[in-house]
Amino acid sequence: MARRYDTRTTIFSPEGRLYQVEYAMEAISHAGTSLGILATDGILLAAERRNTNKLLDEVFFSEKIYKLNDDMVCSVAGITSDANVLTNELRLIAQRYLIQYGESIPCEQLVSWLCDVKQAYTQYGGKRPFGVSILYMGWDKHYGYQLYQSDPSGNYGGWKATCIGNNSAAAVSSLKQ
Amino acid sequence: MSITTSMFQCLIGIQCEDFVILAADQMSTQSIIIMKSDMVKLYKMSEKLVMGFNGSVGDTLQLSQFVATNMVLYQIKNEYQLDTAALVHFTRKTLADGLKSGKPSLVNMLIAGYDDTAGAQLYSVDFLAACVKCPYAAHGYGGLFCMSVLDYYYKPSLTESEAYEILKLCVHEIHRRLFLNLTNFHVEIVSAVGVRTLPVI
Repeated sequence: MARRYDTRTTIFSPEGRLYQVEYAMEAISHAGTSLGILATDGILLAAERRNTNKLLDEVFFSEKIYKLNDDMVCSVAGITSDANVLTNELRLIAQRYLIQYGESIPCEQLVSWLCDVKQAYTQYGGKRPFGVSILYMGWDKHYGYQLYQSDPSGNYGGWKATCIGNNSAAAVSSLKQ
Repeated sequence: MSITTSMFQCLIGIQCEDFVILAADQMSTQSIIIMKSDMVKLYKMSEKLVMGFNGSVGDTLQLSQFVATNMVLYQIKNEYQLDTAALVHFTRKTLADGLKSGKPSLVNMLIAGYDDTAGAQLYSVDFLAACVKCPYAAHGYGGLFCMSVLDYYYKPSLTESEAYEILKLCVHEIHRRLFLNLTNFHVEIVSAVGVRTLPVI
């Protein structure tokens, strides 16, 4: 039954769900784990780096944590090629703000802009959503240290501690304690 | 519209430790005719930010409204305001883009703002999108006469009433030495408590 409604990303199923978006989230739950904790004096971001094949040339190792601008860093979980596109977009958004206002983009604005892009890919025809969840950490003068998470549907939220990727639910529940 | 239009007007600004004071002439002219002498050229853009505009009437109005609406939009979107430095950068960028795209606006500006972190600030922006942060600045032919007065009397520690007196001296000098008829000067002051209008000089 599901087959009829998940061939296009833009079609709702009778239960009101978007299967492609849910599959994208499923893809992320198999990806390397990323974890972030917000403290009063800073933020910690940790990411698991998988597939360390001995034959892989160390000159080109796969990054997991990307610097976005002077004040922000993000870590990704999901399809690496999608993530590269999104981090590139994040850096562009940050620099566009910098050229417009002469100061670093406030954290939430950057996350919000990128989530607009992510959301668009759940709606416009013929596209598949980005199979990437992102953890952002950063500082701005309005709200200080901040930790955000975004998912393929374009939802985002601010967290004190959170985790994405493989086994993230277990990590979050142990963070709660 | 020629550059002389903006040179026949005058803007003066002084920034001290905890306030900035702006003065602008109130002449509105059409060719050689004075249309009115109570035009307002200082616009309050937000709680603690005032911009002074000189230039052709259409361009100044267009730019001031564009900047003001963008500031409001930013405030609504983000629930916090652009600070003075960011707004100046935005304004300068707008002017520079216009200049490069072949649709320049003939506008000279003084921007006075007060931020809780950065304190009182004064920026001078001209129609070529040159932007300078300075303790005192002036535009127009009248401004040329003011600079020597400001050079002589300026101190960062001036009080509000002292700064107002210096403005009076500047205006007096303009009336004495400049052949233009710049009768009224509208004065606004920006400080920690907000924007206040002072008596016309």
